[in-house]
Amino acid sequence: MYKIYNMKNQMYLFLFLLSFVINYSVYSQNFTISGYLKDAETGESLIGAKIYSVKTKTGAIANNYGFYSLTLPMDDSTVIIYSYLGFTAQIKKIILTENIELNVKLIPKTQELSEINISSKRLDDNVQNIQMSVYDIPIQKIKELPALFGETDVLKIIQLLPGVQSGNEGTTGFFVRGGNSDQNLVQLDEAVVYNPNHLFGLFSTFNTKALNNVSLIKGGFPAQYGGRLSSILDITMKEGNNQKLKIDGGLGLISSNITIEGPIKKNKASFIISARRTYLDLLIKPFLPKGITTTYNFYDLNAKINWQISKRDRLFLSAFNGNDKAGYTAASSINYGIRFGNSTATLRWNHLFGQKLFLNTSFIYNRYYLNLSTVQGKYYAQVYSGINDVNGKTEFQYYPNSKHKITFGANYTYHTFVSSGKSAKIPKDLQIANIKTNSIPPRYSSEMALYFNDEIKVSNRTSLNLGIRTPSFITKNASYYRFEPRAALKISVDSTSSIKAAYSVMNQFLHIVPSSSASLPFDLWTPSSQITKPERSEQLAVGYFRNFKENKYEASVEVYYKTMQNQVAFREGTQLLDQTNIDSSLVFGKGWSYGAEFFLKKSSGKFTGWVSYTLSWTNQKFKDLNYGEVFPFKYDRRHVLSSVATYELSKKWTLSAVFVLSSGSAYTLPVARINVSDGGSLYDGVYYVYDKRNNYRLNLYHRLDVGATYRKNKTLFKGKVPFVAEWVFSIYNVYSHRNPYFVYLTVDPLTQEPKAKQISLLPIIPSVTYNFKF
Amino acid sequence: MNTILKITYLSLSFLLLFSCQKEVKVKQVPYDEQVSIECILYPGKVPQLFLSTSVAFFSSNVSPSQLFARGATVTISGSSVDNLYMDSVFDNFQCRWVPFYKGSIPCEIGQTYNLSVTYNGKTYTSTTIISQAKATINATSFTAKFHDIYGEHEGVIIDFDDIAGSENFYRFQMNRMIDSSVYGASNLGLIHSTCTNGAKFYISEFGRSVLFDKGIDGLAMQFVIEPAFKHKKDDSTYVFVQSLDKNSAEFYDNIDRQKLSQLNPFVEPVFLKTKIDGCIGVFGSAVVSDSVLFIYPE
Repeated sequence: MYKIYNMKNQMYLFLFLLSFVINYSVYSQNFTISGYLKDAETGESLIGAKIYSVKTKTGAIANNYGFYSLTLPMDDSTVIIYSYLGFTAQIKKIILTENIELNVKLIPKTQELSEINISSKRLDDNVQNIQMSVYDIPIQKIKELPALFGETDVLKIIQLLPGVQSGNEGTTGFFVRGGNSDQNLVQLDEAVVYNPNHLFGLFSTFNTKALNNVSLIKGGFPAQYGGRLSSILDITMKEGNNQKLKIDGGLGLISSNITIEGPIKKNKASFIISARRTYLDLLIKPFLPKGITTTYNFYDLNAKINWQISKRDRLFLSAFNGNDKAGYTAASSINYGIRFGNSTATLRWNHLFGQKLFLNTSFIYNRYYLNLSTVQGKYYAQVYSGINDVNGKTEFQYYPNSKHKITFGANYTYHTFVSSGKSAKIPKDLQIANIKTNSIPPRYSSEMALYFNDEIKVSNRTSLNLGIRTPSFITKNASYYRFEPRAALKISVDSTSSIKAAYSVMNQFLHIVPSSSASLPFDLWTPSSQITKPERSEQLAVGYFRNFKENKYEASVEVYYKTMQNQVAFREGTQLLDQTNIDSSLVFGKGWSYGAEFFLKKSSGKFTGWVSYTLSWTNQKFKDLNYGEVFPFKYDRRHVLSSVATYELSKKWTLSAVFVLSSGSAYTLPVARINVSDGGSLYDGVYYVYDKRNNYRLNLYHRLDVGATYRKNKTLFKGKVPFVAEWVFSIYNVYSHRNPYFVYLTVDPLTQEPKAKQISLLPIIPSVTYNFKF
Repeated sequence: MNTILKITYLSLSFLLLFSCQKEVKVKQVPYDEQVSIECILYPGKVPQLFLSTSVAFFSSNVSPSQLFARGATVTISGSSVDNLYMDSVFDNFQCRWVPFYKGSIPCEIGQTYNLSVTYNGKTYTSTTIISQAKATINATSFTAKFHDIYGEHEGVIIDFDDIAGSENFYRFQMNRMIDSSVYGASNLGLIHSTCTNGAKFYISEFGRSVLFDKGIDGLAMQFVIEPAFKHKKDDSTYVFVQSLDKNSAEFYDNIDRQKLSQLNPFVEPVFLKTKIDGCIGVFGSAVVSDSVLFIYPE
């Protein structure tokens, strides 16, 4: 009965909001310019491109499909500027006496044009955009930065942004404003990617060459986003060149990739297929010492088709499949075998109702599994975790006038979970029985949400973003209905600076329980249940944003305070014993994080890059852990400094460097030993005294990477086909600093004296990659 | 080109697979030395109390006599006051002296006892009552292969019935005579006596795991115990079941789970919860069952 009541309430709320939207249109009197913004050379949508009316000083941003809508007062001579970073801006003079549909194609900026055609207006998003705590990752720039093994990686770049911390050495796991890694929603073409890593997290699953746009939101979340507490990483795949066939490839030390894209029907339909495969296992096999075997391989495959059915309808079908298989067997103490994979498929339909209402409807299927088996010393652990999601969502974007941008929609996901884990001493016959994945009982749940968001331009100086989201989660014996208010405010101080503030409430119904003991990806996903309540966060952020020297320099300072309720952790002494439901092994607590983030970026000229510094504190408190006292979060790093620089030495050579410096993450060690005198033989005669969880810190982390890119333009087939060849030279960890990966304890069996051993993973690693494009 | 590739991949494989592992000097976090008290009272026996101080975690190994807290005032009050004095016993297996405080008045069943330990100006107090009923062993047997949370091991099986109508906690005890040819069975696997010159000596060992009768009141219970010392066919032993009080049961169960987390890297660490305010330890009691002769069949 309660469920029905709540669902009715949600429906009423939705209808109320819909009527609110309709009311807007009734009073609308101006004329609307709308259309799509595209790359003139490839036909790719220009996500986030800016449309600006000089006279009214109002503007719009192209959405994830390149669509824009701007309503302006009637005018016989209005000037509109279309701009996008890396493209030559276009200025259109328009007689606005009726609604106009105008598709605009921007031309990619060449180096010769770069200094004269940049509109100073388009680079001030940092100051003018109402959203704070948002970063768009420049895909082109990523390719020029030094990379581990020459593999450019979007997640590695994200780790260099303020408020974002990396996990272990070299890995792509990221932790945003004190949140755990499962608190980041990673979406590829709207499909959730539960494990965006390859090779123990050394690389992400995202092949940079198949990506169009990457945005990270870490606070002030608009209402269309939900389901995770700490961040949204929204990744959009390329649509495929709808003008001509293009091939883009790369030969690296450990993997190669190829991307083929082209028109199916020029200007109407296009495709893109991108594949990457590592061959490290095949190549290192002959060189391995006797007794050591390893199998490292991964691949990923991206494919997308888009079809413009009519002027008002577009269809997109995209798919992604990535799989990892790795094994390492040696005489040393740590052996493992791991298989995991993500598969997603997204079918989307865009429809335009007139010029002001844009609809996107998506049907998404995704599948994730992890099968891990690991041995350390005399013990083994096995984990199987699988998630299948069937997801349907529909979203309207409504542009009633230049003062409002309204987004509302509904989202439904049906989750199927299977998970199991076990750990014990290795049997004497060394035969470890695998988890029988077919016999794990599935757990089913439904997650849904309705949302409404309005971006309001109150005045030329003040903008407001108001939103509500009503997520709910229904599973066996438990239903949760939540209300999430969202608000953001921007006040322009002058044309070059603004103050922003944002408040958001988020809920999370799916959880990874972090293992404090395992160093391998022990990602056991579990849904909310009667025992495991949804996690909830409240976040308040305030920032000052300022641009200098005609927007050549962007600077910002943000401070935030975030509380996180119903955090999950394993109970002390938890040992998984063929468990398919880990609820009874969990304990619950709260966390809070606060800090200040400083960011300075130079985005134009020969020398570009940024410096970010984060000063933060993150603590947790669990009634059943650490004697009920407050303790620091594992990734509570006090100081994190990152700097990124690229320098265009000439038309052919670009130099780059990345430097990272951060405090060590926390880990737990006992502080004392006490003899067990009375019958202590089976205890080895000693027990340990812990004073506090996460009482030790790994050593300071620092690393310098450098890179150089040599680019040469040629032609093929007697000058008919342009060919771009690129050599990328990288040195990861130039001065080979042995950064800590993790520390573990060993005890001398004779003296009973404990010793700490540190594992460092990645010393200096030079690499070279050859890329080509024609 | 081929040579370059070979060198490159050799370097890569070296870097990846032989990732640096080194012993690191961990700077000990500041900590205050703690006092440890361990005292289990047995009816009919005089009290023995083990009083020691902790040692910093990364310090070199020290013997029980070096850590023994000398000069303490220890009293256990029941129907009369027993002032404990310093004494010691030689551990023939580890070849070292183990000091303790010893009383002179045998403990009685049904009696409440108050402990007071004053050491270095601080006083630690606790109370226990010996009210447990004695368990009765029904049968003993042996298995060469058994699986439990500790993994696969051989074990001595003890069948007994839970005492109905009360909350009970049990642990295993085995007494036997061994000589220097006997090694430790599992964690003490590298150790054997080096000071007894082949002479037999007496050992008494307690099981690590504690059985709780929650939800199985009055029903049949079973221990499968992996003893701490190795054995041969026809070795004879005496086995017992101890009925513990709740404090002792929780304390030793806590140590057991901590030990498991130390041995198995995939088990979450366990923080020890003390049963005596201001220090670490337990003051409790145990009632021991009648002994049953057990002879190893293999």
